[in-house]
Amino acid sequence: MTSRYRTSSVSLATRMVAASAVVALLVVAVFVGLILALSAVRNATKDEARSKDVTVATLELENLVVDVDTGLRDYSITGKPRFLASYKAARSALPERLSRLEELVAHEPGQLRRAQDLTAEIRRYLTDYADPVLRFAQTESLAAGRAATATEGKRRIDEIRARFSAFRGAEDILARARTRSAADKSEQATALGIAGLVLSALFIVVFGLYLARSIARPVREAAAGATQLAGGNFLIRLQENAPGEVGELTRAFNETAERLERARTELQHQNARLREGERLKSELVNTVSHELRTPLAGVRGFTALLLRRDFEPEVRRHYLGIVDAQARRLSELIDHFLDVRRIEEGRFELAEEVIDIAELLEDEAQLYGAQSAKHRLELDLPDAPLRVRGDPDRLRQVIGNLLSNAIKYSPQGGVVSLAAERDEESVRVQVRDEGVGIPTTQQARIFTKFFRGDMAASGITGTGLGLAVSRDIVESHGGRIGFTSAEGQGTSFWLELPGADSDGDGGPQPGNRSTEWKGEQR
Amino acid sequence: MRLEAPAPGSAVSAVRRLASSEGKCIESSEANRADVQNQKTVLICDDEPMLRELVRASLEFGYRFAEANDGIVALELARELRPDVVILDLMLPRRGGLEVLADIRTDERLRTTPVLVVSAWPERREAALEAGADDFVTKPFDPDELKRSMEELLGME
Repeated sequence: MTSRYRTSSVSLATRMVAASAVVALLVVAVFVGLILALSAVRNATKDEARSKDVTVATLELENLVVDVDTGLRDYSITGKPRFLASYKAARSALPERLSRLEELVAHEPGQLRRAQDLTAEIRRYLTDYADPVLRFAQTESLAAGRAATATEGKRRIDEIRARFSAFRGAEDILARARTRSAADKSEQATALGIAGLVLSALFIVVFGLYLARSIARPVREAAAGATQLAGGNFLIRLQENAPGEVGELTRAFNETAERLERARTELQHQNARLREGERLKSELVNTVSHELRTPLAGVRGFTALLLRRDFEPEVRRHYLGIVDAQARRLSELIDHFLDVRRIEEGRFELAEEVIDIAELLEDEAQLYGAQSAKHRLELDLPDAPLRVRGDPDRLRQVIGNLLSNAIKYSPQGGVVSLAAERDEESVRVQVRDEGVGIPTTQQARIFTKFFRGDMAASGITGTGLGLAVSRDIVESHGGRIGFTSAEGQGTSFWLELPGADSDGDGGPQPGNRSTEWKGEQR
Repeated sequence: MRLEAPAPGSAVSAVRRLASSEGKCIESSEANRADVQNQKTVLICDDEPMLRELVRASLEFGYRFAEANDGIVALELARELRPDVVILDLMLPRRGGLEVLADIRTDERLRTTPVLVVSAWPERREAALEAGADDFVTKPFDPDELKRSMEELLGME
C-alpha cells in the first residue's frame, strides 16, 4: 500500500526544506550584495583620500623643489649664508619626499611611471645642476653661478614644474574616473540588494500562500471529511491533487471511504439477500405444503369413495387411474423438492462423464414418443456424436422434463420436435412444440420455483419445479437454457452445453439421422 | 394423453357439457329428466380439475353441476345461474376465493346463496367464516363429510 503512494512527487518535508533554502540563499545574496556595495563605497572614499594625499604630496614636493631653486638662485646673487641654509634645508628634505611620492602611487602603474620620471628629473636636477652650480659658486665665482641659474636653472625648473602639472592632471583624471566607477558600483549593488529583498519578500509570500493552499486547506478539508465519515457519510471524497504527504493523506482517506462504502453496500446487499432468502424459504414451505395437499386430497378422496361405495368397473378403473396419477404427482413433487433443496444447499453432486448426448436424446425421444397418441415426435440429429461432459442421469432429467412439458402444454396434440447440433464450442439442443405457448406477461417468471402461470387453471398438472431444477442442472454443467414462445403458437426451449470433443473440429456433419416416433408405434 | 378424462360411471353417466370454453362448464345428470326441475345446482369453483371431479363424485346423484376454474368465471357463473350452493376454493387464479366470497355477499341476488369453502389452509377458516362462508371444509377432505355439509346447507337432511 505504501509503495502505491511512493509514486507521488517529492515529499512535503523536502519541499519545505527546499523552499526555506531558497529563501535563505536569497537573503544571503542580498546581504552579500549590500556588503559589496558598502565596500565599494569605502574603497572609493579611500582612493579619493589617497588622491588628495598624492596631490598634497606633489604640491609640497613642488614647493620644496621651488625652495631649492630659489635658495640656490638667491645665494648665487647675494652670497648670503641665510639663503644657503634655506637651500640646504630644502635639499636635504627632498630625497625622502621623492620616495614617499613613489610609494603613494605604487599601486597605479601609469602614475608610478610618471612619478619615477618626475623624481628622476628632480634627482638629475640636483646632481647634474644644483649641486655642481653651488659648488662652483662657493669655490669659483658667484657671478658664474648667477648666470647659470638665470638660464639653465630656469629652464630645468620650468620643465620640472610642467611635469608636476602633468602628473597632477593625470592624478585628477584618475581620481574622477575612480569616483565615477565607485558610484556606479555602489548604485548597482544597491539595486541588486533592493531587487533581492523584494524577490525574497515575494518568494516568502508565495511560499506562504502555497503552504496555505496545498497543506492547510487540504488538511482542513480532510478534517471536515473525517468528521463526515465518522457521521456515516461514506460517499464523501477529498480532492486528490494535494502534493506529497497531504496527497497521500487524501488518497488514503478516499480509499478508506471507498472501502467503507463498498463494505456497507455489500452488507446491505447481503442483508437483502438473506431477507429474500428467508422470505423465499417461508414461501417455499407454504407452497410445498399446498402443492402436497392437492394431490393428497385426490388420493384420499378417491380412495375413500372406492372403499365406501360401489362403482361400475369402468368408473372404478377411472378413479384408480386418478389415484395412481396423483400418487405419482406426489412422488414427483417430492423428488423435485429434494432436488431444489440439494441445489440450494450446494449438495447437488454431478457425475462427470463424457457422454454422447445424441444417444440420450434418442432414448428420451423413444420414451416420450410412446406416451401420447396425439403427438408426433420428430428427432433431428447430426451423424457425428455430440459429446458433452456431465451427469447423464441429470441431463436425461432435463431433456425428459422439456419433452414432458412440450407434450403437456400442447393438449391438442401436434408435432414435438427434438433437434441437436454442435458448433465450435457447444452442443445445442432444441425442443419445440405446437402447443398453447407462454403468455408474454408470464415469460419472465417461468423458471421461478412453483410458478405455473395459468397452467394450473387449464387443467395441466405439474409441480412448478421442473424448469427451475432443469435450469439449475444446465447451469451447473456450465451451460445455458432459454426459450422463445408465442401464445397459441407453441414454445421452443433450447439449451447449450459446452462440447467435450478433444479432436478439435467438431462441426456439424452433413447428413442427418432423422427419425419419427409416433404414439401408435407402441 | 388426455389429462381430463370424461368421467364415466353411474353417478355421472350421462353427463352433458353445456359450455366448456374458458374453462367453465355446466354438467347435469340427464338420467332423470323429470327431476331436472327439482335438481339443485351446485357451482364448483376450483382450479384443479381432478378436485372438481372429486367433488362431483362425492355428491353422487341429483345435482346439476357448474364448474369454474378461476375467480372471475366463478362470479360470472354465479350471477348467471344463481346456483343453490357454491363450493369455493380459496386459492383461485385471477381472483381469490375470499374476494369472490365478498362479491357474492354484496350481490343483491346472491346474498343468501349458501357458500361452502374448501381450502388447504385450515388457518383461514375464521377469515372465511367472517367473510360470509356458511361452512368450511379442509382439504384433503372426506367425501362423506363434504356430502353431509352440502346436504346440511341445502336443508336436505
